[in-house]
Amino acid sequence: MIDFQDVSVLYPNGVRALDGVNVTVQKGEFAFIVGATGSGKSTLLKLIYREELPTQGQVRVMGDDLTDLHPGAVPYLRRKIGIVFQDFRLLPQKTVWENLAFALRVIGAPSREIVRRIPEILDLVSLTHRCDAFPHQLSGGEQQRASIARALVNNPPLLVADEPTGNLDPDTSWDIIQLISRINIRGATVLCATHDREIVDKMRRRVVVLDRGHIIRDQQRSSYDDES
Amino acid sequence: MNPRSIEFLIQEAFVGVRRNGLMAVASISTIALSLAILASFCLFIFGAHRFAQNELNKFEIAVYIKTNTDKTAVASLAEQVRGIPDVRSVIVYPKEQAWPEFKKSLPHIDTAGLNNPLPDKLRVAVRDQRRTTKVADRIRQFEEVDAVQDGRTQRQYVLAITDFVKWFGIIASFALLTATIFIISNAIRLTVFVRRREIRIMQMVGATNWFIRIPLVIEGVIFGASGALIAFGLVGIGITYLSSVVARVMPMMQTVSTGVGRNEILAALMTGGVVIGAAGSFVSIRRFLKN
Ligand SMILES: Nc1ncnc2c1ncn2[C@@H]1O[C@H](COP(=O)(O)OP(=O)(O)OP(=O)(O)O)[C@@H](O)[C@H]1O
Ligand SMILES: [Mg+2]
Repeated sequence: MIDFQDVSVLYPNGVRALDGVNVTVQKGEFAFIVGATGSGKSTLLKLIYREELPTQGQVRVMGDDLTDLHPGAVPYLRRKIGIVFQDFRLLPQKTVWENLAFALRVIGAPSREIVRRIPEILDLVSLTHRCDAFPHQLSGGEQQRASIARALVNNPPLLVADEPTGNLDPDTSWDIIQLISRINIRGATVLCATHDREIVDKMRRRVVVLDRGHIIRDQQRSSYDDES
Repeated sequence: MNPRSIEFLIQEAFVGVRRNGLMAVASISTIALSLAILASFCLFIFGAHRFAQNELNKFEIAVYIKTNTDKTAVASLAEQVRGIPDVRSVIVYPKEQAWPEFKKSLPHIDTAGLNNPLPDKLRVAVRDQRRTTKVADRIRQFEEVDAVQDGRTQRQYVLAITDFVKWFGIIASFALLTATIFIISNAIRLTVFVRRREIRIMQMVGATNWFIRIPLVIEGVIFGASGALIAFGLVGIGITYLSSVVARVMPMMQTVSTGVGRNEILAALMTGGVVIGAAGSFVSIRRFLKN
């Protein structure tokens, strides 16, 4: 599904955000990316949805070599990836329903499909009653559920989440992670960068630890801190 | 891109205008004002040029024919002059018509018993005032012609003014046009700039560049067209007001018009507004679509 080979990212300002990273994620996996702030978690995720390009090495996502992916093909890559951010990034001028509809319009879905699919996904994230609200009228947890709904609305095989619980209280965070976990059980591959020790420890999933651009630990069914 | 998407994108543009209401008002009024100023200036220049041109066209060549020439010779001379290229019209002004008018214009001179001493005259209008001197020189060569007056000095003076108005108008309108394009594309760029975050989000959910661009370009067109319409209203009010003032204070200027019809003004404003609006948003979006 995802394959990094000797990947380095050197930002124009001279910061080496990733340095010789090798990592492979199989279809259907759920992996946490953890590490101190500035260790390169967001950079690693940005490489997956081709927000950044590696300065060295090779990134393959769902069969595409992103280093020589034509810019015109990037939107089509992103339609296969649901992306969730710490700050939600909903379209501020659109209601929850319209935000989801937009993601479907983008892929050219017919209206029939849209009115069938959106209630389904709103039900999954328990937002049916808030579908006509604008993002600023929602709580943080609701906004994040809306953004997850948007990420999932066209059934992408891969979900990438960059600190999805970063702005939420512990209870809400746990709800969100449960939601993401359910999506994983339904078949999507999930990559989740987080600082949330409690969640990582409770979930006991694969944990990839970054430190100053290097992977220093990569363990299945692990926890936030090294157990060995 | 299928028709379903096109419909959605057009709808998106209108929703975008509505939900960014304040921005829309700001940019539409900027566009309206700058277009109105540009249009008024151009109309003023058109009017001034046309006025000067009219004055210029009043110049005629006066051809005095030798007194011993008979009527048939005069007629044939008139015909020959008419055949000279650039001559627009020739009017024969026989001495029998000139004499009573002359007497009437100088009532204190005793002309009783005097034989008509005036010559027959041709009044020659020329198509292009720049060629008047040449035409006059050709007329001088006819045997029957006694004297030719072509009003050289005054004509050149008016000609110089006309030329000045024309070139000043062209240069100043271009400068003003450039400024207008700059102001309008800036207004449009601002509407795109406040949407840059939205553009990034759209890219994240896999929207192609065209999908992002089309509604914003349509928005630019809506802004440009609305601005043009308001500018047209402003210019229309301005013209109506101005002509009522002119009619009151300078009745003799009343016949001066710009020679440009309302439909033409509207068409020019619309074309300008729409083209600059569309091009302005297209160019501004390009900066944000770069990745
Ligand atoms: N666009 C950029 N230009 C220059 N430097 C950058 C850019 N993005 C990130 N960096 C730098 O690269 C390093 C890694 O950043 P990154 O955002 O990947 O870290 P992170 O692990 O996500 O941190 P956090 O936990 O705070 O989100 C940091 O030193 C950061 O300052
Ligand atoms: Mg980060």
